[in-house]
Amino acid sequence: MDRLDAGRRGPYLVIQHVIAATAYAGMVLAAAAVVAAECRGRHRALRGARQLLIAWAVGATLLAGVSQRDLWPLSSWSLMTRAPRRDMGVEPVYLRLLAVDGAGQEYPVDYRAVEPFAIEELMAWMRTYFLKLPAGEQDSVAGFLLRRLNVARARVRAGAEPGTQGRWLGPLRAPFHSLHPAQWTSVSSVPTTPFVALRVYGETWDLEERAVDKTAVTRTRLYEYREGAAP
Amino acid sequence: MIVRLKRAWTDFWFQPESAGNLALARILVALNALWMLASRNYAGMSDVPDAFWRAAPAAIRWRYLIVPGHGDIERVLQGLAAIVLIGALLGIAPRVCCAVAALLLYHLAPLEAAIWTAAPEGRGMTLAPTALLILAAAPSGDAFALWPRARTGSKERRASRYGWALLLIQLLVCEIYFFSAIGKLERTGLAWGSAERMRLWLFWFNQDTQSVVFGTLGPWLAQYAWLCGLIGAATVVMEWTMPLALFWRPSRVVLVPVALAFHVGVLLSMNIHVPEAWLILVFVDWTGLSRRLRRMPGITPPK
Repeated sequence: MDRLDAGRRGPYLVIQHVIAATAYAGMVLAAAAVVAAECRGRHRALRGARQLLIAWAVGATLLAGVSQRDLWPLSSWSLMTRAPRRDMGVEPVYLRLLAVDGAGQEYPVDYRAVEPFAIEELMAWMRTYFLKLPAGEQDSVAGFLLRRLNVARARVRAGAEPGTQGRWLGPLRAPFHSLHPAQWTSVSSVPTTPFVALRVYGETWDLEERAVDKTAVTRTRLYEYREGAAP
Repeated sequence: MIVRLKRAWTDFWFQPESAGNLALARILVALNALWMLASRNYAGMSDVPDAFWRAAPAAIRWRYLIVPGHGDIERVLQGLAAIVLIGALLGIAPRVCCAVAALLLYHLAPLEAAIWTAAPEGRGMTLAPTALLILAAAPSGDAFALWPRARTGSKERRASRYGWALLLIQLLVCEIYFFSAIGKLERTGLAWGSAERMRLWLFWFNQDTQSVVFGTLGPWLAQYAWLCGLIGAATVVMEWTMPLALFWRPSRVVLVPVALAFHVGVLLSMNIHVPEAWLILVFVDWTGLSRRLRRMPGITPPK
């Protein structure tokens, strides 16, 4: 999915936000005008207000769609609009989080273990901002994530699921935009002792090469947070 | 000319529609939004450390009235949103519930991704704030409502006062496909749907082990260039022709099942889920379908 506004700042972005907020506020006012005219029983005014709401909704959504600018919730629906690149993980950088136990063994992170984050939003944030943060802030963020992972680890050790979000819906829980496999599915999929470190790896690969050889991935450690080692 | 255009505009938007179909659109939109709301912890995002919020553009916060660090207030708002969505679903003061839900979701839904983007499209809540607003302004409680009691009796109402709102919601759904087609043309050109690019997309969505649940169909399809080309061409044709569903009702018989099949295919081959897409069901003429079913031999007619 394209994210035109990610990382973009300055007057251009502010103007875009003002237009977006105005577009939705206009819809709210037009809808209120319809209800007001209906309550007063004025048929002519009601027809006019409905026409206004229709015209505003059509105009504002077309503005978002044709300009391909974000006016959410009047969306540009820029879904998969670019051409895929063969060299994955170069632009944008592709990150993977791994938790480490006391024995030094690495564990993949279950998508439910980072609640309340949707993992894809967290990874997008990390891609966009994390690596640019000062070291102290990076450690603060990583420490928070490691604590979340350990809470989830304890839940799994107790025989529960790593997350609680939408738990009562069971398998009917709405999947995220990208599907994620459950990694921590049994007591044995997490260590008996708490995680002590969190590592961030950057991964690059060539789509064609990896289609032939699944292990054709270059993994580089970009960051490590170790509990107790932070300043 | 202007008079003729004005008449065409009015005739298009104010065509008769059944109260039942508009009320069912209300139920579908509310159900979809409630499903997302129950599956996510939007309020919890308010409690994440400030470092996550500091990096993101500040404009996102004022645009959606997001003030990080107020998780308890957000939890109350999320609870309230669930209550009013249930009201909209069951038809308890449905129009008031739709209005309140629209405003709450405009604030709550962006919390999911606001730490890095202002546009949480494709996450299930993009249509709800707008569609619920339209349903609040329209007489969407004239059927399938518990309180106040639905006005329609055994003789179902068809009137122009229902048509415009349903058409607007259908327009929002159509735009998912049509705007996506415009974006593809603008950014990638006509070659977007080429076999080679489809093949790369299939690899793209099937090689990162963090995001692969269905890992068989995509790589299998990628082996056959003609299948990749067919998928690309079919996607382009479907996206560009989707507006036909607004103007020519018979086309819905083809476009709605094709769109549903498309989304199931994307889910199984690319591991991508667009929850808003299920709202394509607002194109189904449910009351007409129910009438036809009642007329079928072996089915007891209503008393």
